[in-house]
Amino acid sequence: MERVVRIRGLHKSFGKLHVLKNIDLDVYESDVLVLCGPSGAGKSTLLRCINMLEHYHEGTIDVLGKDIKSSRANLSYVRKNSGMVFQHFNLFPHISVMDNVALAPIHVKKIPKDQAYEKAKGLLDQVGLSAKYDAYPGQLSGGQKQRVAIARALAMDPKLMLFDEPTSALDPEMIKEVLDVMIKLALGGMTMIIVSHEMGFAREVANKIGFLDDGKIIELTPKNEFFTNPRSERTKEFLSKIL
Amino acid sequence: MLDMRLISQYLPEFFEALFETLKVAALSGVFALIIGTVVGIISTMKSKLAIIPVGIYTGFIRSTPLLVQLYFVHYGLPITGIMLTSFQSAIIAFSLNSGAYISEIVRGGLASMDKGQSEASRALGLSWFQTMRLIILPQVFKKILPPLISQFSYLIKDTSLAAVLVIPELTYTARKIAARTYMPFESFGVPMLMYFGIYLILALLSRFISGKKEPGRSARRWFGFGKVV
Repeated sequence: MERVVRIRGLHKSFGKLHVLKNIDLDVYESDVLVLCGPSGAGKSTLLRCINMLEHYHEGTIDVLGKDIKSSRANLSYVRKNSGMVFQHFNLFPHISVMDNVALAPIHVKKIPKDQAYEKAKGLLDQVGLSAKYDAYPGQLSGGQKQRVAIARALAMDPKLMLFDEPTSALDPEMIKEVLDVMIKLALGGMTMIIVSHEMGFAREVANKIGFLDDGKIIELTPKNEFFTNPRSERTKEFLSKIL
Repeated sequence: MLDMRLISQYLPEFFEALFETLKVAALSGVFALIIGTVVGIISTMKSKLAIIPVGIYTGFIRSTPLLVQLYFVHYGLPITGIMLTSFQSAIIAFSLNSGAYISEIVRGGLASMDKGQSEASRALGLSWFQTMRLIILPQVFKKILPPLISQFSYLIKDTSLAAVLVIPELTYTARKIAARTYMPFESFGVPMLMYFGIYLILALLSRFISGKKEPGRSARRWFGFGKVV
């Protein structure tokens, strides 16, 4: 199985605050890794280091076999070949839904426009938004926005998808429509790293679960083991509170 | 009473002068927009190397009178070997002056942008330049269009100072006609109305644009930014 992400000895601080402490992590092809833990544990920061939205101070991160810090070309390659979905969607409000999805393929991959739009339509159909091609993001519900954001990320044919609390800003009734799309992706073999509090979702589709606390990965185990036989006391405590 | 005969006799000359005023304002406005955008972007950067020169530029322009800037460019620069026609001097002085103010507007617009926009762009693999051109600036310009238009209306009024460099714009022409006819009321009244007319048009334009609800459309229409299709 091919290794998609390899992190060794990662440290990251915000000023004096040491948020990531010596993180090691491996993610393999078709892994669906859910990162959970209390807020402030460093889950989102860890995720954002993987495509260097956050700079890190020490350690190495290789994504798709490239050290992202060693050159701009490597970072650019990794960003082009990975997709990210944000808690607050971050759709581009000044262009239509279709343009949101087609923009990066047109301008980054230099795909001919008609092909890019054809593909965008296909992706929007896939996430159940066939009726919204020409809508603007401001006209959509939260769940719809997040599905567009997923389609936008998928438009680059990513080999890795990063999800940063994708359902945290959604109304409860919209969470399911987004999770359904993510489940479909996971079943399709996409490599995914997901920061989430949705333990139900983690139970359903994750194959590995990582538990972070205080900037460290306390536990990284196959899903079943995580829920039935957590190794550390801290994980047990966390699980007893949320389940 | 108003001498209508005199007004109609000189009206063509006034319109020619109005055209000159608009030419100076439009040219300066375009350059000022370019300067203001570039300087505004630089002023949001973290590097001191970038911020200090920009701070000196905007601070200096804002703290000195435009008239002196105009004199300095036209009469001061020739000492350094830079010879300029009065038209060129006026354009340079007005562009630099207005550019400084526009840069502050642009900087404010950039600062008000949600960080998530550039993060999403970077995560998609867009370059810094593409992010600016396709994502950030179209939204910023839409937001700052009303203050930009009002800055432009200041610029139009400021061009009256070009009269001191004998540029045949509205104010210079009015002074000339007043001296020729000894009819200052009409001679300065007509340009007043013309300045007011331009201002009114700009004010209405500003209201029309900011009243637009459809996201993105207006900025795209006026500046051609953010066009994907």
